[in-house]
Amino acid sequence: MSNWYKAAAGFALAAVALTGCGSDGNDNAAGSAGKNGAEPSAEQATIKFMFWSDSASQSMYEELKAKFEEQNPNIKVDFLTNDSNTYNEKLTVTLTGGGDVDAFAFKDMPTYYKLASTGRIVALDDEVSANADAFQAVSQYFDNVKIDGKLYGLPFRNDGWAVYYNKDLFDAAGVPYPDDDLTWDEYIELAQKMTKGEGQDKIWGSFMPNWAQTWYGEGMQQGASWYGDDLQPFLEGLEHRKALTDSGAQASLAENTATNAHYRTAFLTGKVAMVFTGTWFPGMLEQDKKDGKLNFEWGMTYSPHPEGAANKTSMTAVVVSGVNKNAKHQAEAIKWISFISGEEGQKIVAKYQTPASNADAVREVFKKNFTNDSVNLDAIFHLIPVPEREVRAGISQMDIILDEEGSRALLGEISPQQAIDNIKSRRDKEIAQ
Amino acid sequence: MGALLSRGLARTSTYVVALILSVVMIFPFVWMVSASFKPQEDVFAYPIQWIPKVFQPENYSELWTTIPFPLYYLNSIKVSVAVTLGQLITCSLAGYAFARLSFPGKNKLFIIYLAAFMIPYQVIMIPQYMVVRSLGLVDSHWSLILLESFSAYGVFLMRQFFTGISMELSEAARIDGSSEFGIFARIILPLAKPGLATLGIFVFASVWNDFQAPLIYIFSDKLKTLPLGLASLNGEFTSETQLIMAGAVLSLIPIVAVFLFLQRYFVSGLTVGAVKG
Amino acid sequence: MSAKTLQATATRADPAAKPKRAFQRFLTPEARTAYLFILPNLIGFAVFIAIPGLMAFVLGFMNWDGYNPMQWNGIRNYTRLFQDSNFRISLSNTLVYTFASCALVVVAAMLLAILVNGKLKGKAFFRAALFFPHITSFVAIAVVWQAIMNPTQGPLNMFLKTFTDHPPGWLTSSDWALFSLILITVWKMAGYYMLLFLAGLQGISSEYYEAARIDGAGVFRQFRSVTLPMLSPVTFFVIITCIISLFKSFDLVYIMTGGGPGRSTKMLVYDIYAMSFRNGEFGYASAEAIVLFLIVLLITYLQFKGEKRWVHY
Repeated sequence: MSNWYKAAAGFALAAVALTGCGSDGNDNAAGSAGKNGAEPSAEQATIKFMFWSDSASQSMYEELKAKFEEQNPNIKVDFLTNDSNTYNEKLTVTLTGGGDVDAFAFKDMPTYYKLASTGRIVALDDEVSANADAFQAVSQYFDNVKIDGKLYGLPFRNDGWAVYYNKDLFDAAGVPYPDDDLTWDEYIELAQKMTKGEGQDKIWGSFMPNWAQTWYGEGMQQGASWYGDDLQPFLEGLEHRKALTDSGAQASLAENTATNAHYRTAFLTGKVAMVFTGTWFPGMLEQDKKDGKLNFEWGMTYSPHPEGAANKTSMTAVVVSGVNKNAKHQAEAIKWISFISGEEGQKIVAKYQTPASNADAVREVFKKNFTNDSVNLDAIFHLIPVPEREVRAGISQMDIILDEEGSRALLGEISPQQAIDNIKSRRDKEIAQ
Repeated sequence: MGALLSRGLARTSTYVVALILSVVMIFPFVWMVSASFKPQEDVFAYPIQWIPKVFQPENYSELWTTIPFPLYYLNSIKVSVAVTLGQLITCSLAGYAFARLSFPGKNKLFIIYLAAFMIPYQVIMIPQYMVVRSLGLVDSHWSLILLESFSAYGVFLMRQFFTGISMELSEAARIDGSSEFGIFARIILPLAKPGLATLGIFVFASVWNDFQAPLIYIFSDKLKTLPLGLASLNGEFTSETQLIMAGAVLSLIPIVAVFLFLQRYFVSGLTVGAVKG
Repeated sequence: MSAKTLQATATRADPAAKPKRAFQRFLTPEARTAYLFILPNLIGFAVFIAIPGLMAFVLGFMNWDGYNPMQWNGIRNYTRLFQDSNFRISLSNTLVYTFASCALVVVAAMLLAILVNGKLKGKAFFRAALFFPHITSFVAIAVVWQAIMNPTQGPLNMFLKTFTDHPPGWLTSSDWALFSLILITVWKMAGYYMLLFLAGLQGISSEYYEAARIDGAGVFRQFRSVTLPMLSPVTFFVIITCIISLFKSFDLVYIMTGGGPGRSTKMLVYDIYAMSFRNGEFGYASAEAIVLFLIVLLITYLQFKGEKRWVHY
């Protein structure tokens, strides 16, 4: 009998203790953040920084860390990594469950918006205005990522979109290379011209990833908003994208989904004349050249633009990092992400990725990644940027809606007009709340 | 003669059907093994090259250098074995009580177990994380082991097996003066081997392949399990399918071993145990 | 496994009905032993499953973004659910998927079990082969299925093209995607439930078959009058657990289709997941989960109700 009662009492205690602890997880963290204040302490501090890992970014952050710790002997940076596909979930759970991480990189804007708009990230406006000079070179992207006028993330990478072409295929076809001012109509025409053959030997005029930006980008280039009344520019984009696959100049969405097709692999086969994708692509091609996987000459030019939008207008996607509001070492964490976005940090970033900084010294470093003149730095750095996503309420729902309705149109299940109509009505129903 | 012939025909057709079905079931694995020996660009080449044109066994050694494969392997074995043992012990004990002992509140408690089985994991992820965090177990193998050692399904399954075993066996032992634990451990448990084997293989396979719990609870590289390791081969812009396939092929080995080891229990034992009450 | 199953639970009078007697029983040695047996599991179960489950239940009536203080939201989450087209579509997809897959899985698993239960040489091999799909990591196998179901060049359609000029688009067509997932589910789950049926078949004494044979029953007659009724407790367990686990399906959608094309494979748990982790609406997502829970509860309850009609002990 006594055994049973002991066990029961033990269990009851455990249950009470747990419910208690479970609910005050947040308070603990908030308390410690309060204690630490904004001033960096002279004592040794270890901050935890989270990012999604692949071999390139791993080495980049290692190098950033080495330099930063050398300059700040009191601060140690520890890394928490997660694979790229599930990074957003991991970040959300970590921050929601109490937050054992000080700073982090944001993999996409919906997650940034969600965490920033619910007050889980430190606003950095004070920091930025206090050191305006240090952030001058990345400040052109601040407006893209401000939420209600406040800045929660510091840009450290930025990629626009561009067209990459296989020079050998153009030479063989006797067609001049794509010029530096292409409209979408011209791009499609060129893609159709370059399309040849059948079956295994088919040469495709164009390849694009399956992402929705590849069609709605044309609307963004015209300054349209998904939250406005006039969605006509997006319809044009969807019709253009569909024309490419309908005419056989580009593999269909269904085909690409089923084969897990990737622009890098597709381009390397030498059977794709043009690829439309982000400006991280030259870095990959450089690597492939070193590995002996790239057996042709390539070139690149600006993103195609709609009639009526200026040439060099391109979607850009900026990558930002932020600081947990409940961070144990908030001031140190801000110091760390400021370092990454500052000139010294950007020079290191530039060795691995496209930097956000427009400083000449940083761009010089980036240029050294490339051993030949295939890469067109102007098409990477001198763009008229339009944001890829509108950072505002409903951003993640909108992402899903665009993907769902757009893909149905591209699969030929509904017309582009219907898709746009569906998007409009779902926007009004699902996002208005 | 005719009967003999027709029986022979029946047996042959059984073999043919079994063989065809086995081939259909194994078909995807052939693809997997074949892809694990290909260079990346050939993995999705069509028509499918069942026998790789370029044979690249280096994928397997590359796996070793790209991720700390043996470490992840050991971590996975550690967690899977611990959880399997944990479930076999706790679920068979609880299942035994639900099946063969009477106590107040039995039905209500069982309904709570059954109800908990109906809650999707994705819903309790966040509250569970808070509990685990308040216990200070985040980023440790203990979080994975404790979380998965107490499944409602396991209790349900073991209860089913124990109900099938004749009550007379227990009563006879009680008259001989055995303790209840003695009856459980020495008489009933050996008869429930098929149940334990079924639960064992089920738990081992699901923990071995579990992606979501380690994803949430593990931060440190040195604690990561195999599924996390394989997922890390998916980069931001690329995925190394051939390496993932090589890893998946290697990760099959322990489960197949466990299955073959447990296989005999699916067959034996029950004929004795099924003396119905 | 010739189980006495849950009938007992469902119908036997609750022993705790009379408080005074219950208290006396409380003290019986048997009850004490029973609690000790259950305790190790119960502690872990309460801490890691029941308490989080209760918290989720409370969340269903709240507005919570995962960080700021929760706000009481009454039943507004629920009224919103019934106007939400995502919920409606997910619910109908989930129902179709669950019942179709479960029916096919049960039939396939039972037939497979009968097939490899007989005097078959190399049955260890066949069993292992049939069980193989269940033990493979889905992350890897999803890629394989995508390749096999490639509409233009995949081996599946290459084969079908010998019969028809227009083979289905499988995962890339709204009309076929859900069916494709059902096929893959059957492939993956049949082997596991086959094991349960095998254990059940082992429990059927050969005397029953001999008796049936003496009565002149053929193979099908034996199946109908011996195998099926004797197997019914296992079948009951399999159907219940199969339906519950299929209602909770997540990996398949998450890894293979992301709910697409369009919303053709969007299912409840996936929608719940997207609501909480993408949109940060934890209260609303919990409300959706509670509705899912109630549906499963109702279906399970109905199954226990109908149990007597066809399950033989």
